[in-house]
Amino acid sequence: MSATMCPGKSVHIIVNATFENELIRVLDKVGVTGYTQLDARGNGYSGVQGGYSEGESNVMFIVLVTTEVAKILIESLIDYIKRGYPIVSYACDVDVLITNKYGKPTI
Amino acid sequence: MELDSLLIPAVLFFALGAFAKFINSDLKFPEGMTKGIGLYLLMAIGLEGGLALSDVDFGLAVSSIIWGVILGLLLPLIGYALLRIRNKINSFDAAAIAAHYGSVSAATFLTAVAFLDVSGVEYESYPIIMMVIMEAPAIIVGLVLAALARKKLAAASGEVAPKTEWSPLFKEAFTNGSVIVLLGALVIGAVATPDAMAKVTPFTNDIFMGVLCLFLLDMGLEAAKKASTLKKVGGVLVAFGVVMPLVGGTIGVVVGVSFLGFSVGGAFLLAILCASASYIAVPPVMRHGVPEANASYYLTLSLGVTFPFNVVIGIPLFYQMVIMYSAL
Repeated sequence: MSATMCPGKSVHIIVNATFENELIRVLDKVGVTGYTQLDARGNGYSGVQGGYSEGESNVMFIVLVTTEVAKILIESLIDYIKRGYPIVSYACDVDVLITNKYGKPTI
Repeated sequence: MELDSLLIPAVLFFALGAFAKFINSDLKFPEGMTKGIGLYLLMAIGLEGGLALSDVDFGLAVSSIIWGVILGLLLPLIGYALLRIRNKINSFDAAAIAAHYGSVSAATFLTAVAFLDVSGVEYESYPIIMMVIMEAPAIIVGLVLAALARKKLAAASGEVAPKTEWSPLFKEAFTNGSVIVLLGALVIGAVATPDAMAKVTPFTNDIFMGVLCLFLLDMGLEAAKKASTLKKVGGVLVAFGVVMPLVGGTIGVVVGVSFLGFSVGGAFLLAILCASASYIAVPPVMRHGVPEANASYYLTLSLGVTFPFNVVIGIPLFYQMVIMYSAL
């Protein structure tokens, strides 16, 4: 098994919990091979998201992707933002440790 | 009577929760606990209502259901019209907020039940059926109003309105957890044998008021948390959070007494249903169905303004209103 460092993007997406399933569909559609999901709490445009009920719970997704996939993903998110969904997202450059453990690169 | 209604343990625990938040206490419920307690309360009130269903008048039950639907459709339309006066609130915010006020709050209803129990006033089980019925129509009205606003906005800017996917939204309106538990418990309470039900009574009845206190303690914490963001919401909306329950409650009193012929207790519970605003079932549907609306408005209003208003002022006020209106 070999392992190398590969440049890519880490995209973080914070959305309301009711948007979770839809976001997973979007990730799948644009070719994201995996994601990490966390429960998130905070405050902002939609008020305090304390996790008291589903309507005020946020989730945060972290995905590691190539620059090309990151672009397509961000464009898909912009479509939703135009429709009014409050989505917070940002991307940063990362060096990802890639292994061929599963027979193919994992991002 | 006014002071008595505030001196029941459930209301006092609500005040304690608000006080704890006010003095920045570290009092906090374990995650998910309130949700569990909420399910218990719905189950208990459902079983109780189901048990009472065995000797209801079928005709009146049907009328109650029909009136439940009418009120569920009418109240959000009134709310929307009030919010849109002078064009201060945009259509999407108005549609989402109106849906919350047409729907019901089980916690307010249960506090009203506690008030009647302490006062020794009897009530019919029809309002419990109406609570189940009144969850969904307002959600649909809110979604339709938002879809119309979307169409109008798109027409004004010469674009094609984004298509609304109705089926998942309707599914959410009719299958949300609280409706399922409440409706299921009603049916179970109605069909189970009285002997078997008697065994469940200690769980559903004897400890009910104590559990309600615990629930309201957390509600006090949450309501105070929400009330701290009132500034962000603005005076017009806060005023709506007080005016709308007065309008809804008055309609409930009239329908309960004049159209359905309920007793004082029953008409009072219907008034409370009409005055209350949902804060658990409706927000997720609106977040997904009307993403254009600012969630902080409806979350703050229903839990931070209307719930405390109903518990402290609405309950004694509507009770007096029913007594006076019945005597006319």
